[in-house]
Amino acid sequence: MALDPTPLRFEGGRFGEDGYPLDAVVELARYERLVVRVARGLWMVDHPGRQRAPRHFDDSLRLRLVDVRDGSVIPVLERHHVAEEAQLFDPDDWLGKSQAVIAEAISAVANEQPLPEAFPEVGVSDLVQFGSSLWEEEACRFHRNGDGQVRYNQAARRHLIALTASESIQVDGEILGRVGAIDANRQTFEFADRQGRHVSGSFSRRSLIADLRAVTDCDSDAPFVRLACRYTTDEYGHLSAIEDVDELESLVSPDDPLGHQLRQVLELVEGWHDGDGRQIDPEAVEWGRDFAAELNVENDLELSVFPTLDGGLLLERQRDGRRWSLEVDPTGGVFITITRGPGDSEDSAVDGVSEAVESYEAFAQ
Amino acid sequence: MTTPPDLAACQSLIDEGGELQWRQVHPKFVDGDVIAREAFVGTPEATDEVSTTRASVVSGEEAYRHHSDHRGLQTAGSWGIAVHEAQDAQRRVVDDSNCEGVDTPGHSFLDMRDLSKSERRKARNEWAAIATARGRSFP
Repeated sequence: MALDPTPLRFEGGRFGEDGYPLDAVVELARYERLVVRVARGLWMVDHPGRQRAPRHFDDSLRLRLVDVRDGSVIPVLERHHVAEEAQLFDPDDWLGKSQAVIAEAISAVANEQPLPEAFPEVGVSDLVQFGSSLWEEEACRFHRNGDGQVRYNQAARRHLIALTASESIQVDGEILGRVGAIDANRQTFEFADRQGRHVSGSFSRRSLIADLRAVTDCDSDAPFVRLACRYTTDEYGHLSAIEDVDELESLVSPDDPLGHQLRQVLELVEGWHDGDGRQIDPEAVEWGRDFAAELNVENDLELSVFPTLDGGLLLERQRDGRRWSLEVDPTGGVFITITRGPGDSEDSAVDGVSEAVESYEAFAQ
Repeated sequence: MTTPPDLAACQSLIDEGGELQWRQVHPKFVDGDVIAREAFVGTPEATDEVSTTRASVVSGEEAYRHHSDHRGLQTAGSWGIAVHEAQDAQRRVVDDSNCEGVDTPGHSFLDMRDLSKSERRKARNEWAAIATARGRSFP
């Protein structure tokens, strides 16, 4: 199944004239997020033995707006080709499947029916968010493969909200944040996510009490943890509660070398650079953490930690006009650049932490 | 390295080697005296054109004020790169202040449009090293 380049047609209100109104661009971003989330959910259903989607899965499904056609307003989309290596999956096929399932879900909602079984639960909160900025007189028509169009507007969306509000929007997945307090008797805890939003959590396995206690801290330097858990989100897709925890892992603790700086990078929210700047990839931070852990302490204190605009991590040191930089990009690529003077630099890809440590220690000598 | 793209009619090469070009650096790209090489990434629309302003036209303070007060963007200050420093390894500095839509007085850019990803990382590293060594001009 191939990507449908024109899955949406906007009409009414701001869409009554040629061109796409800039204050409605957010709906295209929401559509992209919805398509990617649903595709990932479908992939997980198709691969029940797998814990997570393949590497580069989300990035390979990113969309770009390449044109806007007149006659209502029809955005023309195409896939943004980012990953150059061979894929273990067919991005266009998953995009096409996702679009078809979304169109069927919208059709059900517009007809005041329950969501179809094929629609993955992880996509519900993004489905609710789509269309939230549309005016009452505006609508979006979804193209259905071989089956005409279905019209979605605020009236249909209100039905969707009622449908999903009657039961929690549950998600099985991973969240990052810190544990602020734990009540071992009630098996509950307080949790702050990456945006600093505080929610309550529960856990059924008593064996997690010791793990949770080990990372509980109200201090702003509290360990940053990754929870594999079942959580719920509100209609805006924000974390609202943690229902149960499967596993807990410390991502960055204050005892880690560079722990304080790495935490600050993890806490950056989307748009941290005057509206640009992606949230930093946790795996890039883990790479930096593992690298710093291998260094001897005297050296690592000289390193500066910076975010990159595309969600990666930079570790840099300057000494006597020379500079050593290590960049972990959000697709997993790691590069070291060494500058000795103007026009005198070398740049190479790095395979692992040991190679990076060796390079840094040679520079720092 | 490929052949640099032709300049538009409203653009011109800057070849006054000693003239500084001011770069505004976001606070997240400053750690003490060290500035990140990421400070030399352009806008999402033109990541390979690193916006600067000409010291022959505006002071470091004026460049800072325009960025923060007029454009409402965050900046930790103005750092300078001399034209001859930016030009090492065949990179060039372009004045585009006369182009339509450019409203920053003395606007120029460090041109990386002809460079590969690896060459861009090297260029940014060198410029960050130079700017860090020179230090902040304003405030």
